[in-house]
Amino acid sequence: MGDDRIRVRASLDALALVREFVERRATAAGFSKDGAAELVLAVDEAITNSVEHGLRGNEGRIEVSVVPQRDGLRVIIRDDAALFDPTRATATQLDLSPLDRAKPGGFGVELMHRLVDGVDYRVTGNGQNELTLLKTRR
Amino acid sequence: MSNELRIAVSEEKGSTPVTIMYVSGDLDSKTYLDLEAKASDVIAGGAKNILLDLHEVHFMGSAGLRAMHAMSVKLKDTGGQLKLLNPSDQVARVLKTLGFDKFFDIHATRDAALKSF
Repeated sequence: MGDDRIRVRASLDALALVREFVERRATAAGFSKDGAAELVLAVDEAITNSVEHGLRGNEGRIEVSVVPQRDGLRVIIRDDAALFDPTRATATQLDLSPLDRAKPGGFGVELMHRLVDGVDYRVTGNGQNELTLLKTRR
Repeated sequence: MSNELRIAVSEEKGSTPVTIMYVSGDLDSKTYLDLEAKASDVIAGGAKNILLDLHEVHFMGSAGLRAMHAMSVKLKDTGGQLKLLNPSDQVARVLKTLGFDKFFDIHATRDAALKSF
């Protein structure tokens, strides 16, 4: 099975389309309902971050590729947003009540890290953000 | 393809009045503001206690938690509470993964939830 990819306009309107794409691919790759749901959620957080913080409402494109691995899937997300490395985002302090944390908006990156088995970031040769999420089949 | 967010509201006028908000569809970064706006309307209309019925939520991302946080803060200011009812599996996963299951009062049944206010 080869790569599979979609390109969408970088807009919150595209979130549901990307979720459905990832869910179909994860199910086809043998993920359980729970495993697929976790991957979908992680990708959704990554895309949302890109749209909300990186592109700041400006038109741009996001490309999502799903690459089968022997024991799971790699999801590669490329966009033209302002460069942002979510692997360097500071984790929120878990000993505080979520309701007491200063900025609840930071949960997305934390959630993404907790739902997959690996997160990798790089800047591509043509200056795009490239975020890779790795999830072992379960 | 997308499950648009739908919100219905009902009032329980027991010994402690509770407004129930039934949410269905997708609660993501596109739709969470709709939930916040509806909650603001309900609170402006005098609601002090809100029970959020999440059984029919097909998808919730961290934006849903953002909305719940905003609602909770607003209700605390009036001396009221936000509680959660019967979250779908996907919603329960998000709550648990970020520890919100320890800080929100979550009930499996409507009766138990209403009695707890």
